[in-house]
Amino acid sequence: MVKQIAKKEWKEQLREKRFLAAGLIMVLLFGSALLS
Amino acid sequence: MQAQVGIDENWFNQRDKNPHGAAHFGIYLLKPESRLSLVDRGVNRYAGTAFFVEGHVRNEAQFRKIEDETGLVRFGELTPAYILITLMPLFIILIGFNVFTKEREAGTWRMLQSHDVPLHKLLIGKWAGVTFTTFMLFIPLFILMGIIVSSVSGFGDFSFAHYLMLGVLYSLYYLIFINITLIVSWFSKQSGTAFITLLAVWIVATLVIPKLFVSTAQYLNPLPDTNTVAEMYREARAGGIDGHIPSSARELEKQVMEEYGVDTLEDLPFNFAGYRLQAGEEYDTKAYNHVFSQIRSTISDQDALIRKGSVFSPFLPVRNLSMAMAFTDVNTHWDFSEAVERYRQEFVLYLNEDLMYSSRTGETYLAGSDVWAAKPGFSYELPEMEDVIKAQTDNIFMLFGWVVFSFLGLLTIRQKTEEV
Repeated sequence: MVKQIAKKEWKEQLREKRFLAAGLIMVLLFGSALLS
Repeated sequence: MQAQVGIDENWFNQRDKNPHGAAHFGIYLLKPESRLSLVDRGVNRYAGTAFFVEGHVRNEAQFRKIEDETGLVRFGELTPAYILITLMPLFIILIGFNVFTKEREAGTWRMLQSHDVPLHKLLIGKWAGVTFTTFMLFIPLFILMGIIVSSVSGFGDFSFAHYLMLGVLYSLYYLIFINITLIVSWFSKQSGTAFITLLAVWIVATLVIPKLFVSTAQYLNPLPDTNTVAEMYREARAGGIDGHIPSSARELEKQVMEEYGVDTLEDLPFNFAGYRLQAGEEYDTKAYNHVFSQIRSTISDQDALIRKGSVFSPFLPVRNLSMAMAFTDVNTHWDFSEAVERYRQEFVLYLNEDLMYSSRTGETYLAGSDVWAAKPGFSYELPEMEDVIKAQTDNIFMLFGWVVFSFLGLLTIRQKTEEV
């Protein structure tokens, strides 16, 4: 049951695109931080 | 490392001169950096990494990077540590602020209830979901950063243990924010309220508390300005032997001549000028140690107060631990500064003794490349993990305290009566 709920939450995060947006921002920030 | 070799070459290739002239010529010592300083630059930018070692004067580090930067740096430096410690909690909030409120708003909460799912299982499931999402964001970036940082060449050592420890520290810190996010989401009626509340928590924890405690510490224990420090040194130095002024050492001359049973300085088995310079140097060292200990004591008082801020924000212990693991904290800086001072005393003693024993009082003596080549060597090792942990016990304790406290906070979550 716990696993199902966690999986559902993860899938929702993916569907809502917030995770992807956060990930993209993080990659961009990291890129600029490491390059500087 | 290459820079240090170049500096040493400069010393070895200097022209023949009086050893005391060489003590004034001096040498630079560079603080060894770990590649982890690419992750967290800590105080290096402000404290500097190049120490000028010379006779009479104990210098603090020079060529601070901050001196070459524009006011824009005030807006915060974009380093991996800044992203991971300051911005990552914001992403956790973005990921988890509506984890419970969205269920209520969409009416799916009652559906879950109807399936007779125990609250604790629901809570663990939601917690696992947000934690998994957070670490899916953090772990790949952390691994990628590790690969990049460890492969940078010509920039100090890379300690895998310290890097791994950084990862563990950041992970514990994220667990605290995940727990806080879930607690706020549970107790909020709407997603908007949860988001605003969490944003306020983030601002207070990462911006307000650190700034408030630093400002208060500066106000309560102000550091003396450069002029005051110079004045403190002049006061501490007053009345002592000045190695350059023979008249300041008349008493010493008498004592030494009596000790050696001679009537003139020229009859001494060594050059008295070197002896006087060393006596003056030892007086200078005492005066500097006196002034430095006062400054250190003020900084320690400031630090003690700032550390108290850790009770109100997990940001402070994590930031301190992160700098310590990257060897860019104040403790490492002081440790190196002390090692440089010990070396400076050894270096100046070597040159003064060369003047003393390679010439006689009144002689003109020029030392050459053999003397420069035989100068004492300097070596400094960055602190071991064990030493770092010992020095950071209170920060580790505070961080674990926050983790435990936040999990206890999750335990306060009970079924709301209106939802039963």
